[in-house]
Amino acid sequence: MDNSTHNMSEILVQYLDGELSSVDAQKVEKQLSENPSLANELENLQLAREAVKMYGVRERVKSVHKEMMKELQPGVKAMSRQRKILRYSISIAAAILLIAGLFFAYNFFTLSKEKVFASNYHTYELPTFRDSSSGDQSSIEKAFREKEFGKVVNVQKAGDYTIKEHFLRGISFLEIQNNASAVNEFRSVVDSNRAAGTSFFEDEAEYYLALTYLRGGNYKTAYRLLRLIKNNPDHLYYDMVTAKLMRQVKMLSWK
Amino acid sequence: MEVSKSLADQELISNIQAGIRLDGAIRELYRGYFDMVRIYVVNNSGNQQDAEDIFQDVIVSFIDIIQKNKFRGESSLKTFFYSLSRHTWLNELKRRGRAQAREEKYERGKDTMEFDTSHFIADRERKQEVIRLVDELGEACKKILMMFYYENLSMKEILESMHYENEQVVRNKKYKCLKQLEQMINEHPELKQNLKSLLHG
Repeated sequence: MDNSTHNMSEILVQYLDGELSSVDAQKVEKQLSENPSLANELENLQLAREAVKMYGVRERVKSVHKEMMKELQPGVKAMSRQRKILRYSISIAAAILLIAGLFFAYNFFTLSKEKVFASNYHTYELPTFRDSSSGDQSSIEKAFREKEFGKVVNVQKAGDYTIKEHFLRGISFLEIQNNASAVNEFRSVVDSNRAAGTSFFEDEAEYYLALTYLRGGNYKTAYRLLRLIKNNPDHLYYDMVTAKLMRQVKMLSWK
Repeated sequence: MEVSKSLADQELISNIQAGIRLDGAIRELYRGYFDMVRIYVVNNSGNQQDAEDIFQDVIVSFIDIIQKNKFRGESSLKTFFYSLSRHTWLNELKRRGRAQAREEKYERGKDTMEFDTSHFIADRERKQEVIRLVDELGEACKKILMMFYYENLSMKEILESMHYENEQVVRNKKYKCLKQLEQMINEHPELKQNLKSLLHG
């Protein structure tokens, strides 16, 4: 672009902007009528000016738009955030529920009375006293200490078994897998105590009776007994009856 | 046909025609009609962003229509605005090749627009091309040209807000920017033709 063209372009812009005197404007108009290339340039400049105006309107609308979206949609946006949080929470809850459900289902289907019994049963150990090796102890007690459970249940006695002997027999029957006899022995402990107003081996008998019922598949009775123990913090076996054990017995009852 | 322009409508139209308090007028259009248009777009295969885009374009067209005195006020502004938005959105759907557009075409025939807005709607794409062209200018150029030609600010006012050395520097800068745009238009005959049809209908 040479200087004269450059100057002419500037003059055209001034003409477009209405900055020329009427005399100069007339001169330009004369040139425009004679010079198509100049007329084309002016047309382009006019279009450029209109394009800028169009752009201006668009930009103006755009800027008001941003402002208005804030004004008109705070509720909507807040709602979407809340919805998002709600959606995430529901997803998390659903995932937790699913995992819990799967965990529950796994536990439920793999749960068996044998497993529950085995994890809660411990062979009863008689307390050792200084005189326990003396001849005062009964043959039942002696056999029990030696863990000869078959012998314990076969010991015949002329008179009635003592409460302690009933209990040891009960444990021994449990050890040799004779549930029915174990139940009878433990019940004898409970009944004898009740009749005599005593409580020898009562707590022990109740706990082992519950486990015997559990292994025998009598879950309702087992659960009822365990709940009695659980409701009594003074019970010797209170700590042994865990929420897990209660839950497992309950679950077994649903099977 | 009943003239149903309310006083508020009349004031809004006068302001747009005169180009005064334009921001206020645009805000009123948003408050009055955005939700209506949003619901329409969202219920017809669009989403929130579509509604926002369409509404901005409709406002640009609306300002254009008002400033060209093409709105005779034979229907309420609300009816007119809704109709314009609906046509613009259907046109956009058609452009996207959606089946819904074909389904709604029948309904479209039932509309009674007070004048043919079809070329305003078709203008949407042409305008977008023009906007893209101007966007290619540098930020400083766009700013200075907008201030001068759109906001009608004087060189002195531009100088104050743009921190140039003196008015002559502003003048030179403005000249160079406009010239640059002029050359861009000259290099794109098709776009130039679009621009001409936009301006002269």
